[in-house]
Order: sequence, then C-alpha cells, then structure tokens
Amino acid sequence: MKNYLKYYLLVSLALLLASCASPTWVKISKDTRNISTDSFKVTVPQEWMHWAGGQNFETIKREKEYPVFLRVDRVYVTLDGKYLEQIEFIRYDAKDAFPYLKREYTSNMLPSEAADLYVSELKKSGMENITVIKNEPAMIAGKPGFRLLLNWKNASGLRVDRLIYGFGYKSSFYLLSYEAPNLYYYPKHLAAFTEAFNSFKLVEKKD
Amino acid sequence: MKHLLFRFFPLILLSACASTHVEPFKSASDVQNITPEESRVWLEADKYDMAMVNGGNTYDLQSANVYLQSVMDKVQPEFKGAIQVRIAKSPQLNAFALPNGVIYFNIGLLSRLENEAQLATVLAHESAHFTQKHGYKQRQNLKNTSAFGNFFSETLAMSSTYGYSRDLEREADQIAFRKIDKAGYDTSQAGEAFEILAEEAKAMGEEEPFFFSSHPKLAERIEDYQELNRNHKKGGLINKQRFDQFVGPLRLASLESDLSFDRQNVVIMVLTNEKRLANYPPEARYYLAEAYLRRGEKGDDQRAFAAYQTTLRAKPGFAPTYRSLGIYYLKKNEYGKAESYFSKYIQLAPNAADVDYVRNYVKLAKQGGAK
Repeated sequence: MKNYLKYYLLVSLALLLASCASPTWVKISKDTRNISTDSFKVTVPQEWMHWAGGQNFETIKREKEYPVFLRVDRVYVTLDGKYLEQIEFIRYDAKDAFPYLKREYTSNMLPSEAADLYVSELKKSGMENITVIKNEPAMIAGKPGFRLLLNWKNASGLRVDRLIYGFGYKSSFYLLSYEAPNLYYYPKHLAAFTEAFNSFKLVEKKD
Repeated sequence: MKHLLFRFFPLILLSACASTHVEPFKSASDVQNITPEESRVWLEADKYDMAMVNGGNTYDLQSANVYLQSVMDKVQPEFKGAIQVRIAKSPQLNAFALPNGVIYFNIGLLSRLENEAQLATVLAHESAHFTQKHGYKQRQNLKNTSAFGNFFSETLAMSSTYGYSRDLEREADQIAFRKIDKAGYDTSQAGEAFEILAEEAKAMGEEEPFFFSSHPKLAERIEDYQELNRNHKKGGLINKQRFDQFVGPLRLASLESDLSFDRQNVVIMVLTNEKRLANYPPEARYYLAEAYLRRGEKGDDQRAFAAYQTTLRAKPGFAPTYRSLGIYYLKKNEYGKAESYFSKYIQLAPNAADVDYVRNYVKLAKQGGAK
C-alpha cells in the first residue's frame, strides 16, 4: 500500500514539474510560426494558439479495449478554442493510418481507396452521422492524395464542417485538416488554413 | 454495511414490487393524462429524440417513413397520432421505443426483414413497450431497488435500446401477437422475423449489439411466438410485394452503410445466403465484391472478381462495377483493360462524385500502358 502511495506521489510530482516546464498552449508569434517536426514543416497563422502538449502521441480509445498510444508528428493550432476552429497537421506511421479499423496504409492504395477508408475510420471512431459533401483527388506537397469535405450536426443541430487532405508517402500517412462550425467560423478562417496548407512541406530525413 | 444491505434487501425488493403498478395507456387520448414523474421521463425521451433528429441520425426518405407509419397505425389504431416511427441511419440490427411514443427503426434491421407481416410484428412489439409504459416501469424498478436511483435517470431515454426484463418483453410479445392478428397479418411470420435475426446474431457473435440486445433474448422471443402460434389459425396478410416496394430502395443504402461502417463480414454473411440474396436487387453483388476486397482474406481477390463479373451480367448499366474493375486491373498492371473499364464508368456516370479520381486513374493507366 505504502509503495503504491509513493509511486502515485512520484508520478504526480513528475507530471506537475513537467507541466510547469512546458506550457501546453503557446501563442504563435512572427518568430514562432514556422514549425518543424521530424517529418514535415508548416507555417501556421500568427496570433493563433499552438498546442505544444501532445505533439508526439495520439490516444486511441477503441470500444472494449485499453487505450492505445500511437507515435505521431502533430501540429495543432486554434484561435478561439477547438470548438470554434482548429487546424491540424498530423503524420502517422503507415501501419497506424486507420487505427480504429486496425488497418494500415499500403503503397498500392489509390487515393480514392484511402479516402473511403478514412471515412470508415471516422464512423468506426464514433462519428456515425458524418456526410461526405465532396470527395476528390488532390496534390499535397507534390504527392497525390484526397480532398474530403465533410459535415455533421451535433446534438443541438449545429453544423460542423471539416476539410481534410490526406495522402500516403513511403512509410507515412498524413492528414491535414481544418474544422469549424459552418455558422460564421468555417468561412472566416478557411483562408488561414489554405495559407498553412500551401506552406506544408515534407522533411525527407524521416523516411 | 454489506450485512445491513443483505438484511434489508428483501424488504427493498418487496417495496419495489409494491410500488411499480403503472396504469398503461389505452388510447391516444390517455397520453394527455400522465403523472408529473411520467412527464419527466417523457421530457428526457424528448431530449434524446431531438438530439437524434438534430444530429442528422434519421432518414428522411418520405415514402418509406410514410409506409412504416401506416403499418404502425394499422396495428395500433387506437394510438394513431401518438406513436411516431423514425428510420435511424444505423446499420445495426435494432429497433427501440422511447417512452414518449417515438419508435426508432434502424435501417440495418429494416433491410433484413422480408415482408410487411414481419415489420408489423416488430412495430407492434416496440409500440407495446410504449403503451404499457415499460420505460417508466423499468425506471421505477431501478429507482426502488438501487441506492443510486438518480444515476439511471439520464440514460432512461435509451433504456429500451438495450431491452427490458424478461417479463416486460414477454408482455410485449403477447400484446404484439394480438395486435398483428387483429390487423389481419399472418402471425406465423412473427417467429420467422426473429429467427432471421437470431441466425445473424449467432453468426456475428457477442461483438454485435442486436435487437433485444442479445442472442438469448432473441431465442426467448422465438419461443414466445412459437408458443402463441401453436394453436392459432393459419394464414393472413404477408404483403411482401408492398414491403419490397417501399423498403427495397433502402436495402442497397443499408449495404453501403454496412461497408462504410467497416461491417464487411455482415455483408458477406447476408449476401452469400442465396435466400437472403433473393431479397436484394441484382447490383447487390457489387457490394459483396467490395466486401470481399475490404476483408482481404486469402482467395477474396478472386471471389471479388467473380462477384463483379456476375454484377456486370445481371446489371450491365450499374456504373460502380466498371470503376472497381478498372481499379482491379490497374493494380494488376493490365492497363488496357483498366483504361477501358474506367472510360465506361465515366461514360455511364459523368457526374459521379468521384469522377475526377477516375479521370486521374485513366491517366495512370495510359502512362502505364505507354511504358
């Protein structure tokens, strides 16, 4: 019992210290808007908030299973909070590309097949009421991929839009997305996302 | 504390039984006269219902909605206007009644039934949960027997999703049987409906949330209806043609939904059963092929190819088959065939949502062919 108590105290202390050492949300300035990860670099909008707390892992909670932690590279920013607008650039290992489906991205997968799997992945993750508005091919950082425009309504009837680009390259699968309520916010910040999207570049050293 | 609970447990149980007498609704006009506590349950159900509708979880295919409502009103004529049927987009085999008289019928369950008599059975069974106030009774029981009564109130609106106690289900069976008989339906179809579902439940295992929540409960339903039917007169309405007319278009949508929810095993199970396959239009075999490709087990590639070929013969104008065959040949580096199938797809479906992908694939096939 005493050992458990010691363990929890130590873990709590470590978490406390870690949280003091690195603030989770960081305001993006002119000097910090170019963000590099191990696999890509991107220029994000100035004055937005960058979430620096979970760049390197993603938690997957499948039904009736223990949570799984995936290694990712992630850049996640918002201006007014995640319910109003969010931009995310994320890289998965190809084997973890569709974690809820437990399927991997394979090099012979065509962009339309990856798009269909991505939609299934969302449904499997619990977003059962999504509607696909557009599903078309796209070039992302010079690589062929898909462009999906999705929407859904939350329980109070508010329509939320998500624009998402996806592509696989070597042993990685990338998703670049912008999400916001259709009412006012989606059109307001679409240009900011487009600018960030156009700045997205792969860093070749990872692969 | 434990000893105390055990000592008083029989007393608690008795008090629960004593206080759960609830007067059922007898007609639509009774729904105006409910107790304040019943109103609270009703409001919770309203909230759940609104969230379902607002969240876009229901189908707005008017002809099917009107059809289901008409069957409902036929089996429960006294409750016309008080019971509403909605078709939910979920592919899971489920139907449930909310305590406010709204019945949700999942597209997955609807597409598996074979005729109107089976549909009437499920509607009559679910509506009996409403008219007998089973949701409210279940809540009362939980409140009376649990020290955490309030904990359940929030989930009350969903309680019927997971089935009721054995006694309440049996009561619903008996009422449903009388109702479908009175409406002139063939009562032997009642058991048949549940047998189809039980077979599927068994094949899918525990993973699959089912109508009446589990396979043993389905077995109870089958036994109940067989017992009720034993000494009953034979014959009555089945209305297969009318059922197919209104529900048929939803069957393909249900297969599509199954695939998009990663339920390829369900699609394979249903469509490899010749009797079930006969209920689907010829292009259903296309979805079987897609399901094989998604499953990706040894030999599925050939099975998929065979199913595409069968679809081509049975429904030559069905465009998606050409796209899929194009992809099939593209991946096998047979560029000429790939190009020809893609071109046919573009010709048949020039405005399809994914036509730009296919145009790109034509370019890939041309490049591959030129090498």
